[in-house]
Amino acid sequence: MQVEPGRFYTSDHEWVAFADDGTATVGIGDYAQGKLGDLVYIEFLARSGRVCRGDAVVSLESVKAVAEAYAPFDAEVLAVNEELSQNPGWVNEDPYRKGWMLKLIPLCQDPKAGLMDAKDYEVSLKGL
Amino acid sequence: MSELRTLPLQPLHAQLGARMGPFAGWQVPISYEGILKEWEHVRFASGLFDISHMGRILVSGEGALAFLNAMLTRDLYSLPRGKVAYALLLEEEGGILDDVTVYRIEDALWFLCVNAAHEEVVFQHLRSFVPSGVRIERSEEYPIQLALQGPTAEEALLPFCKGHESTLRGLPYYGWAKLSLMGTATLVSRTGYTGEDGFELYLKDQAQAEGFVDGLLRAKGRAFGGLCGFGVRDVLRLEAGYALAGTDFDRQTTPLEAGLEFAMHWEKPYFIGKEALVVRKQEGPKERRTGFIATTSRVPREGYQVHLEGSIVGRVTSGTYSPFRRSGVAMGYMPTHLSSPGLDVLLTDAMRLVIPAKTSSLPFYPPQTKRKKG
Repeated sequence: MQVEPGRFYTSDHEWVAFADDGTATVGIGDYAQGKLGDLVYIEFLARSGRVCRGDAVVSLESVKAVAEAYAPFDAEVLAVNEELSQNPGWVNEDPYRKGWMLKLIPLCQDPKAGLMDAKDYEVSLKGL
Repeated sequence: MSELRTLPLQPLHAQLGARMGPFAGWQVPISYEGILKEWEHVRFASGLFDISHMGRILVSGEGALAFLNAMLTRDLYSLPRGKVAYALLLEEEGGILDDVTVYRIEDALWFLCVNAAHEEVVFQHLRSFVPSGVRIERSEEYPIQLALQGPTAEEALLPFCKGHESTLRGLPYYGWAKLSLMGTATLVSRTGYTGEDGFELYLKDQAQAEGFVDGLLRAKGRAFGGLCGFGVRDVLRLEAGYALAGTDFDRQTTPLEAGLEFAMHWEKPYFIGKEALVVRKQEGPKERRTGFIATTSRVPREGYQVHLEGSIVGRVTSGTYSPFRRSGVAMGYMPTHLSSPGLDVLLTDAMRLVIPAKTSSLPFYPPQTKRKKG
């Protein structure tokens, strides 16, 4: 199971990549896509506007399970990866790149607070 | 919850990296390579399932035929030796205890394959009616049960059945034979739960089974795709329109609602449940097992409600994503007058999800089983 270095992670297995321009890209990690299995449907529950930390922002449907991805911090939704609607399998194939889900503008002081870095996340996965 | 039982081939599944999970009190392989990949194995080549969790019961003795004929819905007198029948075990009131496959080994020896979750219920039910001279026991002879399913299953199996090739080739749909699989006597039937041609194999020991799996994996390529888990098994059986006992029907359901009348021989003078069903048939069943096809890939799941014009009219008993239909599919129950195909309905999880769907006939995938007369 692959943990992408340089990213930040939630305990719900979303990853966050912070860009220099202050925006953040969000997706689900390799562990989560493996647990869900082949994804067949993705619905964006928020395509724009404000979301609060913990809000369900993406609904994910695999052959055998249904799950949600949550906002990692208070944010403004800048963009969603519309291509995933036609290609939900990208999340399985390439969860850290082609499988990105949302671009956010953080609306809080320290969006990294409460997230794990790749090292800590890797340790947390060992306990599962 | 009590501890899960483990399959005899559990070490092999672990070694092969299967994702494991619970099913009917057993720890079973859910998936090896992913459900969609495994689906391709079975629909386009062949895939192997470990179904050793199934219950296996032997009924023997002079009166075995008469006894089972009274217990099961099919006319077993007309079932030739060498054939298997799909039959139902009913309560007096007509509710379905289980669906079984029954093998006529000899006139005085019958083999039943029953659903794992109902093995104890079936065993006790049979025992409560058993006359003297008939013996009911759990079959210990074949602890391992595998299913090799798919259009090239025969081709994949042939190299392991040296000297018995013609027997295998000649095996009709729902026929069985004892043949030598890698040198060990094995019970093989042309049966399955996927909607494809294929075989169910009853094996005697672990070494034989491991050798067979190993041999298949070495030959992995055109005729054999790979190992398959319970995840894809559920997808395949749903596409093929097969109801799952305990999920799509239970004691509250009779064969009339469940659409299983094909497994009933009404002309039989007697079987348990017949009297109640004759009355019910005259009245007409109030609901029918019905298919649903979602208009998206969103998956309707067990427990979803069926809404029509603002009211709840039916329920979903199982659903999945169908790679064949490229959409969500489900089966469930609708009032008889609303059970015909083409009706626009909404399937909801009673929380947030609303899935537009159309009622449909079953199956979703036309069965490719080898309908050769035996």
